[in-house]
Amino acid sequence: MKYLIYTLIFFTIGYLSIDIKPLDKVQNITANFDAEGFSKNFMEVEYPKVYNQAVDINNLVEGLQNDKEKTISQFGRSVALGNIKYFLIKGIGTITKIDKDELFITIGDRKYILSTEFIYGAAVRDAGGLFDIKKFPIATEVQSLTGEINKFIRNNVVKQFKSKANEGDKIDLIGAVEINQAHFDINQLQIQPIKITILNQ
Amino acid sequence: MITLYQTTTMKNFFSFIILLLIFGCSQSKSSNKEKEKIAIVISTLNNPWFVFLADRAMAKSKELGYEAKVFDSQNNTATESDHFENALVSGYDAILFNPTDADGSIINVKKAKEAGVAVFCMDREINSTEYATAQILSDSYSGSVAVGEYFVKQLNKKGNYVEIIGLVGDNNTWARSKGFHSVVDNYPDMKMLAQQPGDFDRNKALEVMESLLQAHPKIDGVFCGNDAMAMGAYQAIVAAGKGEKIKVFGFDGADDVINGIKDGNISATGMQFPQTMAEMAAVFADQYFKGKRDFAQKIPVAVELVTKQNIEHYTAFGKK
Repeated sequence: MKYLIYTLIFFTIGYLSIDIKPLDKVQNITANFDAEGFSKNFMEVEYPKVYNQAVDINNLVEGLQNDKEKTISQFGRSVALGNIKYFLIKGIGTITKIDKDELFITIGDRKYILSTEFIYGAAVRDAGGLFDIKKFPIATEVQSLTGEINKFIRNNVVKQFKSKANEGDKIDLIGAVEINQAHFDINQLQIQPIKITILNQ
Repeated sequence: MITLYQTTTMKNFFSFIILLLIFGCSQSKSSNKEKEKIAIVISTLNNPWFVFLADRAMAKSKELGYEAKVFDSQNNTATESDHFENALVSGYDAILFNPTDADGSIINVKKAKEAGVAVFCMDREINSTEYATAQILSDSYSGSVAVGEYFVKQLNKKGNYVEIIGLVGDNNTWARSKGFHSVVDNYPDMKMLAQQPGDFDRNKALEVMESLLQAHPKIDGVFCGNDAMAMGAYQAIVAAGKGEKIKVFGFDGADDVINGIKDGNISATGMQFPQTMAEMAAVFADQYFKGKRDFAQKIPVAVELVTKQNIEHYTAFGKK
């Protein structure tokens, strides 16, 4: 009887001591941070204030070819240290080809790729120079809001644009470009959209 | 005259010796005071990536004129605590710290702060912004977003995959997993068959992959939270005769994975820059000793995607 009681106590304590959760729930989650609300305000209220700081993409290319260091230091932004820099760009161009994951456009006499599927990473978040990481010391908050900013672009900018865009359309574009300053191909610049207006519709 | 000359000379000689002794003593005292000591506490030296991090931190500390010593925590918070106690008792003035556990390591950093010793975290963070002077961290989330994007493209947005994560208590584990899933989960035809911990360990990942291969005969890709695990998983895949069928993705930029990408055995990795983080931590310690106090709490260091298309630009661990 005594052993039975001991065994019961042992298993009860053992059971209460173990908390089984799925692996993906063991993450450090910030419960009260409204990443979606922050992102909406960031894209709808804050970002339009810096649209006028966007550099013409053809001027950016010219600057990178002629004086890479000066151009990067003048227009490149990133909250992380290292080779990756983001640029807020603008341009008026024409859609030449529509593919499943991207559009091909010409701005002046240069060709660019406009991403319409893979809108991820820190390009949009950092290109405008608005994001102050010092205000977000908790890493999971930064991760959440970065994801939400990209989701905002995919749902509110790209979806509508893709449903209306046709080859030959003229577009007015604000976007973000990522460059690895240690090595980049000037002929393969890929633009992540921030605001697109189809001018001929 | 001669005697007088000799007396004067002797007097001058003794005065010179006394002055030399006084000057020498004061010099020796002031140089002892000026030469602060830096402790470098590393989560484990059983992984070449962390060995490189420790070496770079040591080299930069010495280059800046400080005495430095490396302590290996062997992935054990108790050992890490002992090292902190030891460092504080031994009069170290700053600690360049690679934590073993985002939560479990907080207490050690707190003790150091209370003792007036500055702590600069390298690569891995602690879940507190109160105690470390600064935390210089790999931007694991953005890096794994890039790996995730490439993963989706390589698998043409469909297929079965498994994920081998690192240590469950480590923030980098989840930052990498979360970044990867922030992309991959948007594709309904990509199905995760299993997610299991490999503890950032090659042998454990090999065993995990062996059992996953037995349980799931149709796997198209595997994402591993570090390169050691990617190599372990690849070893299991090759042993099962599926080296051509299953794409392996890692994270770190370790030597064997860089070679694996060149050879076409590994699809991609996220290149971290331990040298940048280690050197910056040592420079921060130097600035701290010289009076600087306004450090940003968390400083991310970019992680770069390495694939067969850009491999020529990279060497292991982003070495310069």
